[in-house]
Amino acid sequence: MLKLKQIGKVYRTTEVETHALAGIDLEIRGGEFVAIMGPSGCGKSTLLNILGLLDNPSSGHYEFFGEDVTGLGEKQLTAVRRAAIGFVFQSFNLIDDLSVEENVEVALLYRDVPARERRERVAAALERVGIAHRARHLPQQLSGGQQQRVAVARALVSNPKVILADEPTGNLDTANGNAVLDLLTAISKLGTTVVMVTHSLTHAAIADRTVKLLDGRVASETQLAA
Amino acid sequence: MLRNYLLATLRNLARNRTVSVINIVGLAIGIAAALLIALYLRFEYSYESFIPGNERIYRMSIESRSAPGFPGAVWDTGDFWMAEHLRNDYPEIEHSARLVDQWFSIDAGQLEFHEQVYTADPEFFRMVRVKSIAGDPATALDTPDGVVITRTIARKYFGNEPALGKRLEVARSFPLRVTAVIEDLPSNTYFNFRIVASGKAQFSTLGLRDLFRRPGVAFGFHTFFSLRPGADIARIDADMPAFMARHYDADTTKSTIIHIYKLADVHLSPPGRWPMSPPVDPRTLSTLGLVGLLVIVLAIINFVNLMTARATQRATEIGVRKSAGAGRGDIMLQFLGEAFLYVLASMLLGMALVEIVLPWFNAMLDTGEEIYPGATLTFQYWRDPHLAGGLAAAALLLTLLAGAYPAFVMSAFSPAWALKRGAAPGGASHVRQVLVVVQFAALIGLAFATLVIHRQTTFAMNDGLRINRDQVVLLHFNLATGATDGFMDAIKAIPGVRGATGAVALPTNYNISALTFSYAGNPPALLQFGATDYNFFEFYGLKPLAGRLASRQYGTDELSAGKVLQELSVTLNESAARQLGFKSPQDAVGQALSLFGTVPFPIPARFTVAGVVPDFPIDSLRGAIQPSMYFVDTTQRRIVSIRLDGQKIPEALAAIDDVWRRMGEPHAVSRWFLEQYYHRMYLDVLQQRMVLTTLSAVAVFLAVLGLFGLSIYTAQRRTKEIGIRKVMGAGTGNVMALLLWAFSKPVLWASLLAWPVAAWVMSRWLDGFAYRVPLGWWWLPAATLGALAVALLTVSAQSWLVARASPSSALRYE
Repeated sequence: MLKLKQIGKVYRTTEVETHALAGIDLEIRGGEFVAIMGPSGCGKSTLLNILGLLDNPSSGHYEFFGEDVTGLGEKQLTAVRRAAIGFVFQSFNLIDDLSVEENVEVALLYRDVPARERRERVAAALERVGIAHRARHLPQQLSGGQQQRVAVARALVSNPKVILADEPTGNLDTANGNAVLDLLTAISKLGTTVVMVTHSLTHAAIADRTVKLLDGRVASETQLAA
Repeated sequence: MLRNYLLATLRNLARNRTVSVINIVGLAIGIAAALLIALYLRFEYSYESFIPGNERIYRMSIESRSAPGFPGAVWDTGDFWMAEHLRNDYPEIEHSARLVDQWFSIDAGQLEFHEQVYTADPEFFRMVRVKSIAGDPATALDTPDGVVITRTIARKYFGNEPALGKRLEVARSFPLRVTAVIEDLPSNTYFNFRIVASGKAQFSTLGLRDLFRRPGVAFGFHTFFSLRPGADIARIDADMPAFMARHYDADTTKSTIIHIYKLADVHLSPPGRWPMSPPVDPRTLSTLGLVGLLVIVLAIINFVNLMTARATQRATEIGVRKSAGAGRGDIMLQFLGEAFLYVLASMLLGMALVEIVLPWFNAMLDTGEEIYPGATLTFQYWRDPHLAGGLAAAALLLTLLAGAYPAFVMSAFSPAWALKRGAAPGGASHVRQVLVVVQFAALIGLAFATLVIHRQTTFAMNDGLRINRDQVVLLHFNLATGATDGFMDAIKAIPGVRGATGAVALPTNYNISALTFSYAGNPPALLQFGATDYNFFEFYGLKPLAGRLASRQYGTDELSAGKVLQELSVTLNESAARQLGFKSPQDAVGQALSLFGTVPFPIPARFTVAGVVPDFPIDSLRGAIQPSMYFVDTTQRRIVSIRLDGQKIPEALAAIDDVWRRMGEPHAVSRWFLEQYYHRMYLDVLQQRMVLTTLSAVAVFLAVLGLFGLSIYTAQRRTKEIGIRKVMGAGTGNVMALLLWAFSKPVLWASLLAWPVAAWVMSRWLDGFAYRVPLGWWWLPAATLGALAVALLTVSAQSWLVARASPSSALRYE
């Protein structure tokens, strides 16, 4: 369970103070597929970063599967991320100098996984997303859809409790986008919590619940009909 | 994990091949240049290290002062008696010994050459324990016919045969027996002997005790002593005035100061006359060290700049790795490891460059003279723990510098921020700008320093010398009588000889004598005192500033042996006229000078000034020109100067050798070009100029490399901006101007930093010369313009490519 209570996030420069999030209360159950929607600048990505422990809230409390992670230091946040969270980004964010299998392996490098087990898990992840035949290729040799599959494999390989996807289909055509969503849906059905930021109503419709944000606050929540 | 990092590094290197090569090669060149300078400085500061117990050996110098406020003359030698007095007066002295050098013909049957032959007190090699190949140097000079020779001399005269016990003859008259053969002296030593005969030999001046029983100080005896272990030099040093008072007359004691130098420090001590080998001005070494430092700083700045620029483009990777669970320590390890790989590649390449370039560098340092071979550097890091340790420390430091920004700054970025940005913030770019400014400041400073040294060297070798030294060859006579009139006529009759003259000494050396004169009750002045031929000054192109030069028309112009004149007309130089109290050279003409004190040989009753000639440097432009008096004595032509026709030099030289054989002294001819002496005098400055010019070229090359790499990154970083500007209507020219101005600004800022520092440093360097060029007002702006030209030429090509790209491709790239 992910529990956010009165979460706020303020960005400050010397001249400007921006309230990206204000008073967010949100609970996400284990295994749930939640879509977060809203207009540009409403705080979707900020919320995702906080959920994924990539950023700290300015106020409020965050409980991550029973552990209060509010105010944890960088080292401790890293440890939690390492143990439980996988990410899929809109712009794929693959490392250009590493091959497909090496990119996926990055997710296991910092988890004390022995080399042999890493190879096996990477191979399984690539197989699962249907990109194993391109294991030795570099990212620039792949299409956008293929790169996103690699990113999904990277998120999966560590068997996380939560996968956070920030507009995973934003740079893909319809067919590839649907393929990625199918992957995420399948992952969710196996018990992994998936939180996805999206602009697309169609894509949001496959989630169990849609949370709409407006001006940094939760405007509405829509449950998928059972 | 390490394999993953290594793969990422190597592939990144391959993908950015051009910039990677620029980076590695640039740092390697900087490392090589700095290493060479460091090896040279270490050489210069390691003199006499090959002599066991050298820290207890000292050398004496004598400074002779005529009057307060006027410079004294310093000889790097002692008096005839000093070594003996020292031994008797100070129980803490273990050994003392003298050496004196003369030039003789040496023959070993089939071969005869003119050589510099030292004679030494037998104690010398008991004090200076050199490495022996055969025989025992410590006892080799105990017999009058003993001689110690070096390996090179042994091979020269005896080939591969053992030289021990063999015979050598001096001046075709004095047989010697080789009693020891020693290893060739290393080049980092003050000593330059190759043949050392016993001071007991008949031809040695060391045994002329009766001749030197007279008042005053007899210069010319290199005097060394060593202390017993544990003894302190301070007591002896403080007692020197009393030492003089005990052993010399009151006048001599009053005007003489003794300086004692540790042997290891002699090489860097202020120059005196008749050193065994030329010293080096420590300021020269400091300048070189500073320049070497500048070059490596330039190289490091380039390296750090380019590494930082590359790293800032990898913020996304940092965000990805952190989101995948990497901690800050993992990121630090990755980037430091990457920096280390680059540094390692550069270090290995730099060391290889040193190996390749070292023979050429040694050739540049070689004087070309057998008796002053010049520095010989070695680069044997596998046998030198200090060097190996230094290289390892340098590699570590470079790794930290190059990897500092990504490892310590970028690793602290929050993952969200890094992923959003994709590239590091403007802070890195500000750091790079500062580094570029510092780099250009160093370049401007270096260009200015090279210009100043070039101008001063040219002045020293040409204008400052003031004498016409074109195609002048010198013949050296051993005997005091020198060249006869008949010899001179025979020389002048040779086709290809445009003129000849004689003098008691070289125009580059001080005369043997110095006497004190006074005028009209003014404070006395110590004047160098030397004999010349009538046409000496005309030969060397010196016109009188006042009065006349010597002429046969006047009966008082020539001093001859056996004939004591009542009045002798003399020629002074400007410094002598000034020191005697004359307000102008004209005021001195016709005035009579009085000898101050007495001398043990007959002299004229009156010395009248016939003319005053311009000062010309006797020794080096580093020292003030000494006041000098010249008179004519055609029986003291020990040095004959001959000017040759440049078209007929070989024929003329052959004819000169023939005249020598017929009418010269009964030994091999001793002949050099005057240019060689000047070359030796200014060798350190000439070498400095060559090294600095080379280093400046290296610095420019490094700056060009670094700028080129940075321009590539700038172009990549500003592609979107340029695309938008072009969409808004900017033309190619507008974009070029924008990019070129971005690279010009650091040069202008650099000038503000460089000008005061460079002007101060070079002004201090010029203070080391008594006669110097003034600093031109336009030199600093010229250095800045040069740096600007380098910057603009380097970046213009890349800027042109970027400026001409279509806006759509620029925006599509984003």
